[in-house]
Amino acid sequence: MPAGRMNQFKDLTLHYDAPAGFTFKIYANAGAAGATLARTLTFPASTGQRPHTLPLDNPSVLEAVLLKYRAESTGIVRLFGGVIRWRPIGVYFDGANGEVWETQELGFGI
Amino acid sequence: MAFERLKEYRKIRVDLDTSGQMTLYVSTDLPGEDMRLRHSEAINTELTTTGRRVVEVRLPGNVKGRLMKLRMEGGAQVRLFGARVLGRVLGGTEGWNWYVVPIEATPELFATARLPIDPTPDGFATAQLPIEPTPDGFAEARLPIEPTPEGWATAGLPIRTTPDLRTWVDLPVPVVE
Repeated sequence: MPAGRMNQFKDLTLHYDAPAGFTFKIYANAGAAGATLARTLTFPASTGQRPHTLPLDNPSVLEAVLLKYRAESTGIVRLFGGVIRWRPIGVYFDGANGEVWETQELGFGI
Repeated sequence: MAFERLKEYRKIRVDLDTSGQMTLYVSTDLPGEDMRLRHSEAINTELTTTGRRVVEVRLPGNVKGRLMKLRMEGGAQVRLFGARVLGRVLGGTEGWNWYVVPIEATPELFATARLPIDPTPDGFATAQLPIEPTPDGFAEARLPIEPTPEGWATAGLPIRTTPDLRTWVDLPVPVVE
């Protein structure tokens, strides 16, 4: 993910083994704001290793410049891997922070 | 070159998503070779949808120039996906063209990124337990017996030496009364 650009996150897949299940908290750092809790995902209990995908675009797509995450459980969690689907937004700016979008002088055509 | 050709502009199409009202400012360098504001228009995609939409801004008929500059500002958050300008070369034979405004592209598809989780190997590795190994052969160990020297050592006898000169000795004679 390019640092400093706003990114959109579609979904998250984890491979895990958690007899008691677990919650996966995602903290998003968007623009000038600090990292705030953006999603609390509940991964169901499993007997053995399994993949499970949860959406990040409901009710709206998750957006962040930086992400951090934290897994919590009342039992044992074996985390084998995970992937997140994302894309950078071409231009994102926040007028509330005084940001503007402005082009260079453009001479169109050939 | 394109910047040398005088163009007139008719429309601007912007593909964007705003969280509130913003204002698009359009500046050109003509008339007067002076880059200044020629048109501005409020844009608010929230009025019709909660996400991304294409907004078309119609420019006044007198907007022309060799160079154009666009600026958007306001108090909302904006996701800008693309923009094009409809224009034509004055005095040219080409018709109206949509010119693309250079904006960093937003991929249509999502890419995947691996979370930095340490991998779990498929197979098991071996680890030695800390038990001292037993050698295959026997080792020698010396018994604690004092060694016998090869030669003879000397030892002095306890006899007092005789001095070269005589010395007086007081004899203890008892007194008779």
